Amino acid sequence: MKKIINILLVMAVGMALFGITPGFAAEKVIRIGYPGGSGRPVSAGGWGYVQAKNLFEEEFKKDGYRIEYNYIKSQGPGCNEALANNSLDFSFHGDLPVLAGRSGGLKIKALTASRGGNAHLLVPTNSSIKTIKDLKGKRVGVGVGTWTHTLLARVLNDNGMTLKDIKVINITGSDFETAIATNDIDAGFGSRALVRRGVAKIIWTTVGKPVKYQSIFSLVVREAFLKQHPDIVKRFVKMYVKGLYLASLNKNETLKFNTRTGSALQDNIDDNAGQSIKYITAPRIDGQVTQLYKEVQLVAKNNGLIRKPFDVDKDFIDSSFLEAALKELNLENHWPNYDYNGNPIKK
Amino acid sequence: MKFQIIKNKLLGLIIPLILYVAWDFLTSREIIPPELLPAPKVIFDTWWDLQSSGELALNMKMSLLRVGFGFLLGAISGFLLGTAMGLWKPVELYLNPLFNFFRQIPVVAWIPFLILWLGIDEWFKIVFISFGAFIPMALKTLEGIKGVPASYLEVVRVFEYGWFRVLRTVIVPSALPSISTGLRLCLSEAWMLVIGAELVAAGEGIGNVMVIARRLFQTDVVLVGVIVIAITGFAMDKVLGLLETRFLGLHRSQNAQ
Amino acid sequence: MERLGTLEVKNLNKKYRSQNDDLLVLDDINLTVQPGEFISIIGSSGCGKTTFLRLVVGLEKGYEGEILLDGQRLNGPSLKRGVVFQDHRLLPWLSIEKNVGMGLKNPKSGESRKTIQEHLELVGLKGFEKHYPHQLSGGMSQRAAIARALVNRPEILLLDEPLGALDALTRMYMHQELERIWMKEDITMIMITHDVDEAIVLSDKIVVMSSRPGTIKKIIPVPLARPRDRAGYDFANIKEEVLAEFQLHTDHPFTYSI
Ligand SMILES: Nc1ncnc2c1ncn2[C@@H]1O[C@H](COP(=O)(O)OP(=O)(O)OP(=O)(O)O)[C@@H](O)[C@H]1O
Ligand SMILES: [Mg+2]
Repeated sequence: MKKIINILLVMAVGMALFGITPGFAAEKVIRIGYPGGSGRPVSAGGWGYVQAKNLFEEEFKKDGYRIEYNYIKSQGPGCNEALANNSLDFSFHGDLPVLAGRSGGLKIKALTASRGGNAHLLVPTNSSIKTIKDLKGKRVGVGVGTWTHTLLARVLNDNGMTLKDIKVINITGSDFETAIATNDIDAGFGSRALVRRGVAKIIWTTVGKPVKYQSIFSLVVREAFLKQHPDIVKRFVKMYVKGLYLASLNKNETLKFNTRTGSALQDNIDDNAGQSIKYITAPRIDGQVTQLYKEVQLVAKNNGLIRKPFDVDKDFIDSSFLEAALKELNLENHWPNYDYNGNPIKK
Repeated sequence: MKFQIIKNKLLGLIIPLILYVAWDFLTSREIIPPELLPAPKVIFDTWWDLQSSGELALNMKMSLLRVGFGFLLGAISGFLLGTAMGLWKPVELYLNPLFNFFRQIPVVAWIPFLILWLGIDEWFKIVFISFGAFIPMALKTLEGIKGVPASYLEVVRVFEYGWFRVLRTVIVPSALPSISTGLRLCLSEAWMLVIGAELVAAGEGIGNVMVIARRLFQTDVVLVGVIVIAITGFAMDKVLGLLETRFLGLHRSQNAQ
Repeated sequence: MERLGTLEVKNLNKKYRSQNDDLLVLDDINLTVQPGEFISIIGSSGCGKTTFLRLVVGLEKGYEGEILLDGQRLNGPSLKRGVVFQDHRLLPWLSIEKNVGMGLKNPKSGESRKTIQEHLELVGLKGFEKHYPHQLSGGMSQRAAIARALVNRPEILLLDEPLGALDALTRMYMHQELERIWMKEDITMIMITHDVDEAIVLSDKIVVMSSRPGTIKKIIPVPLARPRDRAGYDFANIKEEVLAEFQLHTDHPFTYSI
């Protein structure tokens, strides 16, 4: 017994010596994850401004921190894995993966949320599929575990079907684009860029539908990191809100700015479809966000995508850093809170 | 004697037991975070969930069906090729170099082409599995037939046996242990490849359950999948092993040193 | 009618191809074996005895000279020439009774069963019918192999050190049995042995071979009445004569004892 303890001790010392500890203690780095499907490793909106203006780099230079942006090809699910094995400190990903991660025991806290993201259900240009009902038995490409997965489930449920009525093909990013171009899949959620290239046409879109179909993306942080570096988290959120603020100043400028991700300006305008710039930059995890989270979780639960639902209101959301940042930046009244239908709540 | 056998069997359980206790200890105290390695109790609950909802049975059925077809296709064609090469020198001379070339290719390297030719539906999976199952079967059959001791063949030459009696009396019984090893390798290969095929391409199946569970951060389901796969593979091999001793008899296994 | 089974070996040469040069194993072997004769071949290890035997069985091709059976050139192995190999070569997956029945056309018939049973009794393996070769001792396996070779009544039986693995007593018992079988079945036997006494007890002629290359050094007739008395004077004389052949061989003066 004593021998075993000795061996364990030696192993522990060895691990400590060789730095086999979470996050490689020697280097000071803040690692941010971002789902990177097929676009360039550049972000749009608030994140875009944070990047373009080097807000994080400037803020943390004096502490000797390096900033690392990771564009995770396997998208939200990949961000979860990277958070789980301590390769990321912050991540910004969609509703289903954030909820699935948390439900699977991933120790993360949601700090802010962004709403109003759109997706389009595409079919190859020459396809005979015209409505959702035509999808029965067809191969539909979707990033399993991404926010469009629950969206697909929802859209099918609306039409009296479930995910079991179609063939779900787990495919993302450029693989998806190739597959739809070669008719290897019959449909799937994608961007307007494919329509622009003449590869696909849209048979259904979130644009113009009730906001419940749109995405919620959240800035999440590893709980361990939060406990270890609350100060860093605080300053991080502040800089992020600053980016959001810059994005929220001029809609036309921001839509133009967003083309740096490779999207066409007209597509950005079409996707925006008249939503206010305040709405799509608003960071608060307000009643709308929590309501939508609960709804997504329910859909996910009913479709077997989340096995153990958890209480979204409990232990998951930490708005204190955001509120502190808004206060410091004097932006407390810059963004309103929104109701379930996406209307600003008047104070 | 009996006691010795039981004791030997128990010895093999000690390490797994220690690992289990360590697993339980480390996870129940959350020394290893549960999202990285769920505790045994969680795994059991999840297994029970999947079991009682019929999800596991449905997906296992699909996987086993694929294994069945792929195994049959691969084993039969491998057996035929191995037999042909073993019995007829010209066939061996014509085909063996090609076969040896073919078997250097890891089966996974065929995935892009197989998908290109067959799509990602059942045929892809079955053919993919059969590719992998085919190789050990052909190899072991050939080896078995080639390995028939020349001394035994001389004995029956002196007795002026016809080809059929040579086959029945010497070649088949002598090659059988090797062929049966081939069969076992073939089945375990098929079982591994079905998981591989399902990890690559969608559809029901235990491998696909794991892919989806991984994307949905259901570590417990992934681990249940791993365990179910291991147990199934182990059980299938055990069954074949039992059949082997049942039909090949004990005296053979003792004799073939 | 004249009896069949005369074996004539004329100017027989056998070479084995090794890496670069040929190894001459048998050099100008001349031997005639009359039907019903008992011949022993004695010679040091590696001198080519087994090779000679294999040639006569018909398992070895590519030789110079002639091997004639009743004036006909040999054409491969035949049921007429039975063989007991140096390694017994019982098939491990067949029971002893099935092994012994291997040489029969229809081993399952009642007739065959009887023959098999008789031969098992003959070699003292009664009760071991259902055993498998791995359950037998080396000597028992050799005896089973003898039974197997005898079962289909060959004209010539070739034995390659058939009693090598037996203890002295069993060996003597087997000498009697072999002699009895030989007389009863009236077959030609050619036996390789390292045991000089054995050769004298059983043989009509003893062929002494020398090695590298294997040649017939001398053919010693044994004109003694049967059954032979090992302690007799004539016996000792012949033994002297055989042993003398080995002692002359300066390289291996005591090879006979191998
Ligand atoms: N297939 C073969 N290829 C090449 N050389 C061989 C072959 N078989 C036998 N030899 C050689 O021929 C020689 C005679 O072999 P053989 O087996 O006839 O000897 P032997 O007299 O029976 O010896 P022993 O008493 O030890 O059985 C040996 O030198 C052996 O190395
Ligand atoms: Mg020999």
